Amino acid sequence: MSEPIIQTHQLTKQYGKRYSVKDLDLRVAKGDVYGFLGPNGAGKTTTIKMLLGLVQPTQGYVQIFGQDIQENRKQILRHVGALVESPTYYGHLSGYENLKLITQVLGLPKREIEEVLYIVGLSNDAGRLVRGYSLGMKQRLGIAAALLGNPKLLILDEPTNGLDPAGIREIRELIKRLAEEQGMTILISSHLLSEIEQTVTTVGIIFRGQLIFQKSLQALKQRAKGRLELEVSRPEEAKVHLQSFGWNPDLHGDRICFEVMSRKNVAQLIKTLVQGQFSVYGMNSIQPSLENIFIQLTERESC
Amino acid sequence: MLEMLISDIRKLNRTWIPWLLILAPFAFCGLQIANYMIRLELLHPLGWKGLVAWTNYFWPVTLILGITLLASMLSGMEHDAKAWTKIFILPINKTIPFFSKFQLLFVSMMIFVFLTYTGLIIIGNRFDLGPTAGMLVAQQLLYPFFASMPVMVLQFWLSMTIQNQAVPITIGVVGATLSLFLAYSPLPVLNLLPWAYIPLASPLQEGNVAQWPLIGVLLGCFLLIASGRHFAKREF
Repeated sequence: MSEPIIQTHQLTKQYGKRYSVKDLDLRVAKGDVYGFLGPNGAGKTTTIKMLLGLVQPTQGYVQIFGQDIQENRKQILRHVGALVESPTYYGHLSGYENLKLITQVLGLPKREIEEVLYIVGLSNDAGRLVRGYSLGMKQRLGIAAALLGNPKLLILDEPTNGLDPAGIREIRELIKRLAEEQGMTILISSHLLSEIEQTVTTVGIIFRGQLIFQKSLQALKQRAKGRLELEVSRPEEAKVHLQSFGWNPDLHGDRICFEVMSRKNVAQLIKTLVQGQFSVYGMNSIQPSLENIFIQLTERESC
Repeated sequence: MLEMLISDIRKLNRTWIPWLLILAPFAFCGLQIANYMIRLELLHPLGWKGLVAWTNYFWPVTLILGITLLASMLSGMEHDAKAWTKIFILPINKTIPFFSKFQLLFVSMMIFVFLTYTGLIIIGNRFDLGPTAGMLVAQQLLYPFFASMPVMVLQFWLSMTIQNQAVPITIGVVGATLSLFLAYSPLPVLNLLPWAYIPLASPLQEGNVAQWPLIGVLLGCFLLIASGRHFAKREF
């Protein structure tokens, strides 16, 4: 196992009587692209704010690069880039000027501004006032700001929020590139699994303040099973017919469902149906959807 | 700290704030010019003291309103930019953004005072009020300015912590309106409220007027440190 970049221990935040985050043990290894998932209000942003030292935990503690965030805040933040909630921007300044404000405080050279603008693809719009930027561009400017100073860890809180499909794709490509080319460890939160499914290596799912899943994307995918749906005439009879031949069908409405099977078996199945004088109108192979697992996981918790 | 201050100054680019700092002293002096042009024969015999007295009528209210507006504009910019989370994850001490911004407010108000001083000296000389009473004018402008420090810190702290700028502006306007009543009220207790220091610090007042700027600066510094610490502890 590689060394953890982020590690939290029993992290808890209580607002009044309500637990916003409870006993969270987050672990992000070096080089991970960690997808931090949860429905709205699950405690994602609160957790991220605690990671960054913006909010004090009620209990537990956060270690980043093996150091406590409360004690070594400045040293840690020097190597962390983050975009929390909505991006910060001064509308009356240009994109370049907005980034200049940060390099000024951090004492970074000007060429870093051009570098990050290039990475997020805003070089051509750097001179325009940010007021006139589209939401996607503002979001990318926010990421550019987070990239200043060449951080080892990048924390992005819902970077795809409010973007159109093209914008979401752009951000996704960008994150992929950052992880692959720059070797950054990235934590990215979202309430939509499909948005980050193609980008992340590890997934943590938070629900009502608790971490209910934290494993590799592969492990999550294994939990999801695909299925085969058949639309046939007289489904009830077809089910009985198939059962008599040793199949194990499920009836969902007027569709007959099976677990994923080999191509040979599919052919055999259809042959059985046709020979039994049933008309096959259509067949659907339902891909394993992470969305479904997500719902399954969260529903079980809410029962 | 200096880097943060430079960064804060850069944020003023293309805003109204620098223009306002030039415009406001013009407006303030313009009022006196109009006043003296209309009834010079009445005001001329009063000399420099008369000009200072007329300045004194408006100066406390102008100061408090100026502080209120400027504090609100400087902080409102950050609220609008949703900048607090970004600022607080910069690898710098959490009190720096607060003190840097306050420095900017303080220096801006100093510029305002200096331009007003220049304007009044020019007015006095143009209307031939006798040998230039530079010291008196400076005292009239600077004593209330230093006495206003607690109010400045209070307004600044309110503007920085409250997102809805209507609240600090309302408090500032009420403070400006009440300052004269508090200063001239028969109840000495009311003189202890910081808004009263500002009118009381005019050199035209009787007694030891220099105590008010002194108290103002001392109380102001104390409040500044306290509010800075509070601000750094805020959670976003």
